[in-house]
Amino acid sequence: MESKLSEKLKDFIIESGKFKGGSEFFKVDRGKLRDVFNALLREFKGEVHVTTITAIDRLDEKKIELDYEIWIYPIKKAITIKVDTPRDDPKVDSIIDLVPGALLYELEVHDLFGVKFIGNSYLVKPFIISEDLGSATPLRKDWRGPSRQ
Amino acid sequence: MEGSLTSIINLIFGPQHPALHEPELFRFKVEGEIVVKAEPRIGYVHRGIEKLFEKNTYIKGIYLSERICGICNVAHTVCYCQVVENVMNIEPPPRAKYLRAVVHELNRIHSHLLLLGVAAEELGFDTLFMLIWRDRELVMDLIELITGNRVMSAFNTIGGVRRDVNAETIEKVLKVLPKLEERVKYYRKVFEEDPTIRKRTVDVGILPRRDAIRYCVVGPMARGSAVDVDIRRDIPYAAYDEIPFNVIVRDECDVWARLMVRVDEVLESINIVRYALEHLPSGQIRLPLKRSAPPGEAISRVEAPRGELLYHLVSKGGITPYRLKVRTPTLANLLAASKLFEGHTIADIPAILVSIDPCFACTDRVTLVDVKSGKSTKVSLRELARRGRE
Amino acid sequence: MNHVLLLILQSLIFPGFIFVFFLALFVEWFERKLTGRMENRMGPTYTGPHGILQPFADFIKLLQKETIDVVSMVPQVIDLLIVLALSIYIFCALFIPYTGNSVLSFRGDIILVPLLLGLASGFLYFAGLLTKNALTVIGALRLLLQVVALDIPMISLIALPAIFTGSLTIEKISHIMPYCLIKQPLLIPVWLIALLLLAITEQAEIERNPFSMPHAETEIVAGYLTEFSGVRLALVNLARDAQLAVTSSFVASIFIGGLLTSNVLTAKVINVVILLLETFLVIFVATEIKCITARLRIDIALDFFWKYIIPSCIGLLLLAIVVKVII
Repeated sequence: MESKLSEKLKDFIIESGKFKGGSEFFKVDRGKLRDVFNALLREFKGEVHVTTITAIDRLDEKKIELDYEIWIYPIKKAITIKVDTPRDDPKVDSIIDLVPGALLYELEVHDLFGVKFIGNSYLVKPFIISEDLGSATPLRKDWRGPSRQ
Repeated sequence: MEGSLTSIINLIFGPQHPALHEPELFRFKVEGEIVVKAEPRIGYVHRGIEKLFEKNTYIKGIYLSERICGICNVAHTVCYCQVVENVMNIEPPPRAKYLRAVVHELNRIHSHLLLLGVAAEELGFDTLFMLIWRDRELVMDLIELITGNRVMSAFNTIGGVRRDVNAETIEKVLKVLPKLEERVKYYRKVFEEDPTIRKRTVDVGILPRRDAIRYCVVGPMARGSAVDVDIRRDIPYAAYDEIPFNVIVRDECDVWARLMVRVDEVLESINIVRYALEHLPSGQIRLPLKRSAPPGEAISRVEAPRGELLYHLVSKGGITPYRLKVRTPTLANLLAASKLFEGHTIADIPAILVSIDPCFACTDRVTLVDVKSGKSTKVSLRELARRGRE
Repeated sequence: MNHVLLLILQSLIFPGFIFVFFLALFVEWFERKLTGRMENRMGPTYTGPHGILQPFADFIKLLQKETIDVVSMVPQVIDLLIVLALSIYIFCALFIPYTGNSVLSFRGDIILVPLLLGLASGFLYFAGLLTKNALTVIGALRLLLQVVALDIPMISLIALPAIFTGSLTIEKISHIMPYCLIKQPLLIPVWLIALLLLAITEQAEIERNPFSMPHAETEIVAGYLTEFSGVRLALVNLARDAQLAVTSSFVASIFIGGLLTSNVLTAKVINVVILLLETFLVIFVATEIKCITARLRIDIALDFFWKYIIPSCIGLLLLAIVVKVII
């Protein structure tokens, strides 16, 4: 099953590996994200569940990593799709037209990390954080709080 | 019928409202009695706990994760401890795994009974609410008996659990379980047969299976829409690979099905607790504590009472996490819920809201305060820190 | 002159304002205590023996509270409507034969009292509607829909005792009522069905579960009562307690009755006790129904009323007439 999955996605995968404790991850190119989701949705007849989008601010590598945690119903398997985006101009294609359930996660990542999702017209700021923080991106590593900004 | 009487009214639910037990805002556009549009505004209790994790050690993180949500605190600590254990490459002893399952399930029973009581209250059935919450006290007493505290159990720790159970405790718990089971079976009958409850919940808030998958809903909400998913079975953790249990799936897809899934899950959980206590392996309950973690990344998923809970930990070595992501189940269900309101009447708003079992503190990652302090003994801060590590 | 003085005394003290005031507060305590016990709670316990003074304490407390001005073009009208509603309930009490004799009584008052009760509900509805708030407007609309659906079954049910006894005076009906059924045993099944329908209809009349939609707490906060505060809220609460007390007494006097006709003082005291016990019996049944049901949705409730309750009430009325003619 596992080999089948990585075979299906082999055109897109840059790097693959395993997290400690089990589940697999695949690193794909930023521009190919939608193609990966399209391939997954086609393969599993749309029964793909996006658990969340984890954003990791890799300050020393000057990039923000987005981890799409995915659960695939038909084969009962959890995988992670990793995408890198530059820290100063973080942009990635939105997937809400493919998986509408990802809307709130995109809004959350946009709010806390300032990542822009191209094609998502619902991006509002502030979404979760309080209004007085304005355009701050508090979960970035170099954010020092409102008083010290 | 009433629709033609009035034009569109802006109805605002929250941040304070009798139907909402936590601060959250819903803007409804209402035409007569029919909701035409619903917009949630979350974030009222956002406290930046994810950022706080990065500043605190792994041990402090246990107690922090517990305070993300007071109701399902055990699910949070189980998930947190697992993700840290994964990064640290340690495996808790079997007895600890069983005890985790026991407390996790007791916590699930308490959470589901709480929700069923609230559901009755939201439907205007106050008697049922009072009775369910009365019988919920049985579980609270069991949790107190095993963990030492009613709500915030602080039971799990990295590499095991913090308290052992003896034969006497097990006997006491096994004695209470049949009583609880009998009551829950009675409530099941009430939810199944009471005409007023059925009138309010059957065919209300229908979420077809296709939409349930598209909107990525989790937990009882997914299982009430015929989506067969349960992390306990699909990615077994703690002792769930050794404990037999059924996954409750219903295909009615309405509010009633979601409530019934929860009632049946309570009965399943009682069986799990009974099995786990009867087959409790012997041995130690925790491994020696490690303070720092090697670099690495791990994911842990847990079936919390409200659905799939996910922790994603990135470690760069040292005693604090580099990044800890928490995905709580209510956030996943909120989007589908706000779709469900449209086309229903105002009276259905509380029914639909309660069927997703909203926990906004989870969603916003907040600090909840534990009210019960127990006996007041003077403890120094250092002593507390020492106890925390035990 | 004496007659007028007596009338003023009666309308002020018994069974007028003072009596209705204390009866209303007692009825509220009774309902709260019963609800508490039925829900496995204690109910009020703190103020007075078994918390009997709690509603009175609440009333006094509310009088001290600030009355927040409501957003409305005509706040004076709201006050007027509330006072009018309260006085109508007290006025209705004068028609109810607590001592065996009503203070005011004429042929046809059995029709007047339910109409007045409906009118008072209407005043409260307008008071709620005039506070311009989304919640009160929705609550008031629900109340209006409910009152409209309620009128036909209420009137046709109330016509039944009149048919049984052949009288249109509450006082007279309350004297003849249970005995005439023994003389005409064919009417007993009709009476029993009427009691059943009455239990449902009264539940809607006094806005209790399963028909508590006009002030459904978890949906529209307090419905049409949301904007009231301070003195205004105290009076509205009193009016609603009075509504419960008067409606229950009225229903008890015409459907159960059994009052003594004698003019001796002991007979009068016995009459007061009998009618109050019957009133509490009615409230007990209402509370029982309230405690074993969930709240319905307004459309389901209206559906239920127009499709089932109204036809059965009219059918029962026709049946009663037929039976009466046969006898």
